[in-house]
Amino acid sequence: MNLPIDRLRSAAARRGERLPEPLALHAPGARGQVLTAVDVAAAAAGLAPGLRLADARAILPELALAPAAPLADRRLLEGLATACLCYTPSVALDDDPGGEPDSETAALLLDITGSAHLFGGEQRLLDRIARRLDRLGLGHRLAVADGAMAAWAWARYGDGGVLRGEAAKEALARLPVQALRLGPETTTTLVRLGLRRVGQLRTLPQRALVRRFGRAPVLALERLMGVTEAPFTPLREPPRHAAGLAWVEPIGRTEDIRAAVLDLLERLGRELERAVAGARRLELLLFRVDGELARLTVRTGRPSRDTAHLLELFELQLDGLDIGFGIESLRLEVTEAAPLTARQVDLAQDQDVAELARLVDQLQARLGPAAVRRLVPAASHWPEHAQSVADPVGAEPGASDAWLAGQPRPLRLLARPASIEAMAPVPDGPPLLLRRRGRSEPVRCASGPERLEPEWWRTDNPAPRPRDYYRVTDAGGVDLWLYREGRYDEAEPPTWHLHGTFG
Amino acid sequence: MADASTLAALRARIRSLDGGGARFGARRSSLGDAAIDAHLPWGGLPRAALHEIGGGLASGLAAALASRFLRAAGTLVWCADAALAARQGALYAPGLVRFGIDPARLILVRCRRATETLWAAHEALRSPAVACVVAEIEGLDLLAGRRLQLAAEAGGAAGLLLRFGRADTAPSAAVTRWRAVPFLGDDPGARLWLLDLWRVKGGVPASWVVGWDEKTLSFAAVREPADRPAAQRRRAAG
Repeated sequence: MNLPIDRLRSAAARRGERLPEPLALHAPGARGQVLTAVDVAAAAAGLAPGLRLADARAILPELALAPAAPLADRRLLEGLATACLCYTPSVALDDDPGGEPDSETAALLLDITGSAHLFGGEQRLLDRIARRLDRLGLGHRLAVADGAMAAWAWARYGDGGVLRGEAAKEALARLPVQALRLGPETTTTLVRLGLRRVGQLRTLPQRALVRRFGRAPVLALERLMGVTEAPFTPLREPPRHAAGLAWVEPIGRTEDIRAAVLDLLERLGRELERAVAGARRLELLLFRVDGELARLTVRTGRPSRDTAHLLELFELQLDGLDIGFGIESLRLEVTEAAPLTARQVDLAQDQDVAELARLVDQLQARLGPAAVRRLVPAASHWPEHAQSVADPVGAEPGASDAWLAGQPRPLRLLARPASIEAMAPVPDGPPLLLRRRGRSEPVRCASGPERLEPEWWRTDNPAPRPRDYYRVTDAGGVDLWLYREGRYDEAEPPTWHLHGTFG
Repeated sequence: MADASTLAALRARIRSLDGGGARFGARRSSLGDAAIDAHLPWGGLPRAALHEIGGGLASGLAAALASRFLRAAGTLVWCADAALAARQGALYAPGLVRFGIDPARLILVRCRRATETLWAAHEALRSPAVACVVAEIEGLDLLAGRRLQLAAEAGGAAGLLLRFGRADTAPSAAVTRWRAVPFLGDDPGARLWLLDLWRVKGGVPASWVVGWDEKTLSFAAVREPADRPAAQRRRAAG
């Protein structure tokens, strides 16, 4: 298994190119560039990861080189981990805990307890995953065993495949001590002492082992043999409510997907009803035949288990969905739930609030959560800061008297005040002439000023000068909200700005 | 020989065929001025119908009408696309309060395209929790208008199409079409509006000079429109 090289190779294949051989990846090391991964041809010539780049070139002058990209490798692995969610909700990404995170030893661990039978047994599941990785052009070693550590060791150092029961103990005992993942130092020492096999370590008295190497080898042995459980940290917490569907033949028509989602929603709805809960956030994972994963997320303002409503929210997003050559399985998860009693569902006086929440969900499902907002008052007299936005359903609406009343305020406020030319006959007086589009026009009527001092305590508002606001009716009768920034007695002359319109 | 009652019966029949008419009659909102209400065939502006608003004071008229419709229970949904809002300025809650609109009853929908605005308005109009929907648009074809009108009838909310850009006399599904511009009278500080009802299903066009009273939140006609200068008439038309 050589993830970094396979990643480059399959990416090149998708572009219709072929990578040169022999190939090696390199990255800066302590003493100059060192190799981090080599392909089969390079390995056959005696190159190995850890070799210095200069030495490698001397051995194999025709060696093609590419820089290593550990982040891209990691992303690929994470993508694969997510794609494996169709086999079980519990998937962990396993970086070598003994050493550096290393794509060479990194593995995916799937807890298939209780889910293997859905795919026709463990062997069938392995075949299925293998076919999928083959399609992606990624090399693989797969194994199923009683414990995570045993499966890892059997995949990496053993023959792979299903290893269960009594036969497992013997097979695992034959594995090299590297399978215990004790780190390079301990492993080298063990090998020097002639302890090459796991089985040899098991015959030693525990006490002697602990005295010489600490608790680590004993713990590792116990985990490998399944005496204790290895810690298993799933990529994400499996949701409490989830349901899945898989097909032998991929489905692609929107109606079929819709029917499947409805089926899943009904199953989850019954589950939620028993749990006296409603969904706040649902995630639909659509596993495509080509290994890609499509995700749809739906949020509700109030907890809901209303199948028709939730289906509608998904339908709003299904239209634009790219499903490639079809979908082989679906998984629907309630990623956020809240208590919801039966009474809350039927409460009639709550009807309008419920209807509004339903509308907001619908609008947010298609336009995005940030597109649907409520205006709430903010404690500020500075016009730009006097209002802020909040979630329309969850947020507490501000009392209407919290809005600054009494002073004239425009119906529409420009996000950025526009510069405007105005002439005032007396300093600190209202403007009498406006100059727009190259023409001067007299002002019909003006009232003001309303002096606003800048909020010096705000760090995000660097406006240093006070503003004098005027309500000005222009020659056409349109009411404008203008302000003058600065004063005439200052060194810099004041400037006029249009900030909004009334009516 | 047709007498008054025959004429009235015929008018009522035309109204019902025209799609406007009496079917909105029961659910209407007064504009606050008896003369304007009386002129409208329904004795007020019908809810569950589409009204089109244009002209320089269109935003103000939309806010004023929304405020009248909000006298009943329900929410105001205001849909606008981002490009229009950037040009016109964003809705400002302290200004809405002056029109009697409580921002707590307002939901703003910011769309990316005009088609999204129409979709959002359509969904909002159908919701029983909504009293009034304002949709800011630049143009609207007849079919899209009909769809909104049907949604308004189904949901019972009033739809206000706030139209920017050039005036458009192409047919529309709206039940009434309004244009609001400043009225330049003798008193420069009066801030009067020229309210032009230039198309009304089942009724005759008319215009009024009105003032918006911020205290009573109602319109008040101040003068007969007959003596307005010809220049004003052209302004209202353009």
